[in-house]
Amino acid sequence: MTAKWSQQSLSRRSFLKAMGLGATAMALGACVPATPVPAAPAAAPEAAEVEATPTPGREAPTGRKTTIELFEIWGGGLFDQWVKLAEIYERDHPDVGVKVTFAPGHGDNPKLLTAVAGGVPPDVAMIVDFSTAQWVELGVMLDLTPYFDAAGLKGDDFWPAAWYLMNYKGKVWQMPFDVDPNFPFFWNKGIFRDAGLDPEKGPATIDEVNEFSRKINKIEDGKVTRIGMVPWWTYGFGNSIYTWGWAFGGSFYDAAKEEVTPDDEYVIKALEWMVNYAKEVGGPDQVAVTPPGLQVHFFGAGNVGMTPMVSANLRDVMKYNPDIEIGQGLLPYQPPGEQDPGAGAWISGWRLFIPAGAKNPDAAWDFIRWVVCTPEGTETEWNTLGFPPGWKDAPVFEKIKADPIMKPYYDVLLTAKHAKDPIPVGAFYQAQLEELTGEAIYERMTPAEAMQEAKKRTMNEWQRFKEQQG
Amino acid sequence: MTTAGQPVTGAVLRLRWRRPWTRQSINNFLWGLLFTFPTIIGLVWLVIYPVTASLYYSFTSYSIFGRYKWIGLSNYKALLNDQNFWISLYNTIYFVIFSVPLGIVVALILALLLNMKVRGMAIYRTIFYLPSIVPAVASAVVWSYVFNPQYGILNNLLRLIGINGPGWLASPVWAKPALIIMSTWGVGSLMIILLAGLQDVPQELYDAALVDGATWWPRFWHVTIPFISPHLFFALVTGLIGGFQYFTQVHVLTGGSGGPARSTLVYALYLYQNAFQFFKMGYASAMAWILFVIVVLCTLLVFRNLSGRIYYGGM
Repeated sequence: MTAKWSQQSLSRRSFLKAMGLGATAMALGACVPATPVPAAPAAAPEAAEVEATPTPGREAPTGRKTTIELFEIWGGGLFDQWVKLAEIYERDHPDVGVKVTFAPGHGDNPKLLTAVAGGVPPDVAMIVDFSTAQWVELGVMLDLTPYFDAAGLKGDDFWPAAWYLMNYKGKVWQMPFDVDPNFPFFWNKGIFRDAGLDPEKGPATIDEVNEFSRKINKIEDGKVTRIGMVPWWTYGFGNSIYTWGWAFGGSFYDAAKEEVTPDDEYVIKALEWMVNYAKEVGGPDQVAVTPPGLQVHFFGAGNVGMTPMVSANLRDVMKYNPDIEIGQGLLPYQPPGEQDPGAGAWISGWRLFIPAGAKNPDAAWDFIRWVVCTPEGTETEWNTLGFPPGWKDAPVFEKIKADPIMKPYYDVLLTAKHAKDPIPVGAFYQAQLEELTGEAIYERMTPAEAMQEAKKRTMNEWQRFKEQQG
Repeated sequence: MTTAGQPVTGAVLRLRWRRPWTRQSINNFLWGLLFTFPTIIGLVWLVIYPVTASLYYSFTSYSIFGRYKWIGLSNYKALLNDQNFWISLYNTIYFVIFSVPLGIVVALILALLLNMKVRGMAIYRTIFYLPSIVPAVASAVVWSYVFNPQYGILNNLLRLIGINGPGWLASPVWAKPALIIMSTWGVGSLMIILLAGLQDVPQELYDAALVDGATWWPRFWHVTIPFISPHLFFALVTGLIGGFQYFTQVHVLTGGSGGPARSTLVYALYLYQNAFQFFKMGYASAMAWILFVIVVLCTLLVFRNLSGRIYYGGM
C-alpha cells in the first residue's frame, strides 16, 4: 500500500488544516446567540412563554447614588414589565437605580444560588411559596422582621394564607407581590351546550364533575379528543394533588406532630378519583386534546370542558381564543370532607426577599416595601405585571373587584384558607408528590402506596436534614 | 522536534531526560512551562480542583449553604437504598444499550451512502450533517412536535399504514424509545469520521475481492469493516461515555421531572435534581463519582475485549 503523502509534509499540512478548521469552528460557535430555554408545557402557574431573543438584561441608569440589583425569573414579556416597573420606581426615587437581571428558575435557581454562594448576591430576589423554610434554614435569606416592624406593618395587613407563608419560626422572611388565588373554576359553555348541559351552571361537587364529564368525553380510535376535565393537569402532578386533596377535605401537614400527611384519607380519596378518571378515559397517555407547540393554556385549544386556571392564563385564552365562551365559578368540592364550594382553594405566588449578604439591604427593603404594600407601588405592579397584591388594603382591589375577569380571583382570595406548609424540605416534598402522584396516575402504584411512599421519603429526608445540617 | 518519519512520542521525551541538565535545556523547559502556564492554571482551577472537591464533598452532607459535616460513606450507602438511584441507572443503561449501537449503525449506513460517487455529494453531506449542529434544546422542542400523539408527524404516518401510534413522550412505556429515536439526529459528526475512514480503504483490496468473486456483504465484512474498525471503536467508546451522561434533551422535554412516571429519569437528571433542587450536593457528588467508576469500568471492559481485534494497518 503506498503512503499518500510523505510523513513530514503530512504533519505540517494537516496541522495547518486542523488549526484552520478549529479556529473557524470556534468563531462559528461564538456567533450563536444565547437563547433562553422555552418554558416547558406543564410549567408552574405563572410561567410566561419566552421568545427566542438574546438574554434579557437591563442596566441601571448611571449617576444614581445607590444601585440595587433585582434577579427576575421569568424573562420574555414579564421581564419587560419588570423593567417598566423599575423605571417608574426610579422616577419616584431619583437616588436609586434598579438593575434587572434575568435569572431563570422555577424548581431550581442555579444563577441566584450560585451568586449567593459566591458572595455576590443581588439585593432583591424572588422565591416561591414552598421554598421559604428551606432557604431560611440554609441561611440564604435575610431576616426582614426589623424592617417590617419599623415600617409599622402587621400580619393583618396581608391576606391570611399569604401571611402564613411570610412567617417561619416567628420571623418575617419574604413579602408577597403576587398572591395567586388557586383557583377559580372555568368551563367552556360551547362544549356544555354541545353535550346537552346547562351552559350557565358549572359543577358544584366532584360527583357532578364526573357526571358532566361522561357526557363530554369523546374517544376516537382509543385517543381522547375531547375531555370533561384533566384533573392531573392542574399545573403539574404536585399542584394537582394539592388542589384536589384540599377540595376533598384532606390535609398535607400536621404542625403539632411536625409530620407531613399525604396519606391523609381524603388526600388518598382525591388521588383515587384522579386515577379512576384516567382509567375511565383509557389512560393518561391517551389524552390527545392539545396540538403541539400550544402557547396558551390547554383550555384554549377548545377540547377541554372544565379546568381551573390562573389569571395570566385566563387572559391569554381570552385574547388568543376569543370565540370560546367561558363560564366561571368556584372549585368543586367533595363531601363529606368538605361542604363549601371553593373549599379546595389555596394561595401561592411569588415573593420578594433580600438574600443574605446583599450589599444594599436598606435600599432593597425600600424597593420591596414600595412594590408590595404602598398604594402607588401596588398600582404600578398591577398595571405592569398584573398579579393581585398580597397587601389586603391595596386600592387596586377596587379595580380588581370590578373587573369581570378578575372578580372570580378576588372571590377566591377572600375565601381561600390553604397554602403549602413551610417545612425545611419543602422542595423535596413537592418533588415527591409530583413523582408519586404520577406513578399512581400511570397505575404503577396504588394511590395509598404512592402517598405512603411520599410520606416515608419526605420524613426520612427531613430527618437526614436535621441530623446532617441542623 | 520531529525528524523526518519520526512522530513526537514518548521516545523523544525519554530521549530528553537522558540529556544532562545544561543551562540550555533548563531554559527550554522553563520557556515551555511559561507558555503552557495558562492552560495548566485553567486545568487545575476549572477541572482538577472541582473534581477533587466533589470527591471530598461526596463524603460530607454539603449543600452549598448552611452547615455540613463529614459523614463518611453515608451518601453512598443511602444511594444503594434509594429507589430512584436504581431506576435512573436502569433508564440510563437502557438508553445506552439501544442508542449507541443504533447511532453507530445509522452513521455507518449514511457514511456508506455518502461514499458513493454520485453528483452533488457535497450537498448531501451537508444536509445529513446539519441536524447534529442544531442546538440540543431547539431540536428537542422540534422533536416534541414530531412525537405529539394526536397531531405529530410520526403518529400520522403510522395512521396511514393502519397503526394506532402510542403516546410516545406521554407514555411511560414509549418515552424511552422516543428518546432513542431522537438521539439518531446527532450522528452527523460520527458519520463524517466514518466517512473519512471509508475513504482510506484501499481500492485495490476491493478489486482483488471482486476478482475472487466476493459479493457486497463479504466485501463489506472482510474489507471495509477491518479498515474502519479503529473508527468504530472510537465511536463505541465515546458513545458510551456520552450516553451515560445524557441530560439536556430529557431535561427540556420533561421540564426536569423525568416523567412520565420516572420513565425518563436518567442518571444525570436525578443527579441534577439532587444537587440543585434538593440542595443535596454531597449526595449528588457521590452519584457523580459512582457514574465515573461505572464509565471507567465499561470503557476498560470494551478496551480489554475489543482492542485486540482492531486493525490499525490502515492508519
